[in-house]
Amino acid sequence: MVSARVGLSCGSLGVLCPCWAAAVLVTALACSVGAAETAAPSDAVKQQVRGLIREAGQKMDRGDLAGAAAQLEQARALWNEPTLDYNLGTVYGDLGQHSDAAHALARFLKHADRSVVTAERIDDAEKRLKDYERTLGRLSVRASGFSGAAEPSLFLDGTFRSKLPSGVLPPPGFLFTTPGSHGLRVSLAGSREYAVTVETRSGELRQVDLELFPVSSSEATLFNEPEKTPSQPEGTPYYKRWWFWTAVAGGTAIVLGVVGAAAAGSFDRTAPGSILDPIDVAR
Amino acid sequence: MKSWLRCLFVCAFSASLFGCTTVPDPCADYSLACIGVTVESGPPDTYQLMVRVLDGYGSVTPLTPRKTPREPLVFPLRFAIRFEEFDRQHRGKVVFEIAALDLAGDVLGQVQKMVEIHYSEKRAVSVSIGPPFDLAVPEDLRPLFDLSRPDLATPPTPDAGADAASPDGGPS
Repeated sequence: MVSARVGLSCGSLGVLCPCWAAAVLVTALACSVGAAETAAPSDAVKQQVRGLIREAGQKMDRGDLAGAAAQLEQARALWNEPTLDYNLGTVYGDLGQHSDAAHALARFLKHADRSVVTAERIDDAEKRLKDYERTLGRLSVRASGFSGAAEPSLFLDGTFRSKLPSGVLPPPGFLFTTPGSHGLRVSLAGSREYAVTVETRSGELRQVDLELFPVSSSEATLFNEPEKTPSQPEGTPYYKRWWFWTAVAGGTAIVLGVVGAAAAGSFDRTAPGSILDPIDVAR
Repeated sequence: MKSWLRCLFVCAFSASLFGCTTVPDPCADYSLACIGVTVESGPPDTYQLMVRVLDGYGSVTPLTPRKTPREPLVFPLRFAIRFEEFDRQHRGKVVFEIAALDLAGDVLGQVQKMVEIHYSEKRAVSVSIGPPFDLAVPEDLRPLFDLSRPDLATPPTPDAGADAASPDGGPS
């Protein structure tokens, strides 16, 4: 039973609950008190987060790991609580989403208040993270070529993974990836999209430095949808428009006229010089 | 539309640019033998040409243009030498001479040209008028005072004079 192995505890409470729902609810609320880095949410939000955590525990009890992860992500979006990251790390690990699990555990270890989180839990997270660092690849990205206020978006294998404030990944500064080939894409409005395929290996930290170039005006014209005027029927190809064939007929007539005039010698010139009177001779 | 207009403009421009340059034929519309002469260059102050055909041919209008123009002629000059039917004395070729005249009728330059022409052929000839012919007899062709000397091409020697002064005065 997954829930038994992933039993939660938090700091000095030292609670190990057989029931996921109760454990998550209690530990989340307990840890929130000591979490110095997170802003205190309103009571309504806390109430909402409690509900989500309870539902996650219930889904865990039923073996719905994906559903539990979704509930926990939703809760984390409302309240960025480190204990939720630990729970997410264990759930993602059980789901086989090891890179997501590693990220969650890294966040937990960075933000968890060591005074309230049990050493056992910290040790467990560190051990899991070390395993992931050995078995997974890591990808670090450093983007330049844009103003500091902008935040490019990083996509890995077609999925949005993170913003790049100041051009770099937020702490820990890298993405965990499964070993192998990955499509990396960085985009920013007003810049050319950067796309590259990178190969990561187990235990390796791969650094990618890239520069985003601004989109030129011609490219902007290419990529921007041209304005449609109401007089243009939607979807009618140009060769079915009246003006196209009118232009073709007119152009053909002019070309034929020019060619005909040339053939008739209209464009011929007389060589320069003087024509003099003939000399008539006889014996 | 812009590309169409550009294409048409290029076609029209090309046609005007590559239109043929027509060189007038002075012998056009003449049925008998004729030499179309083009004088490419000559003295700049040429007002008239005097054309003379040698070998017994003559012309009542040897000057062209007939009347002296107010401005010098502009080269190249083109005119026709038109022949009547050739008689038996025609050897298949004619020699003509062109003299460039200034406003006063003085010769500024001359050129001579031989042209083979038969029957009612049309020939086109280009010439350039050079300096006037030097009609002075070359020094070595002037007759010596000793007329008994047989070879006039041989330059005189100092001894020749001595021989000429021989007492008998007869041929050597």
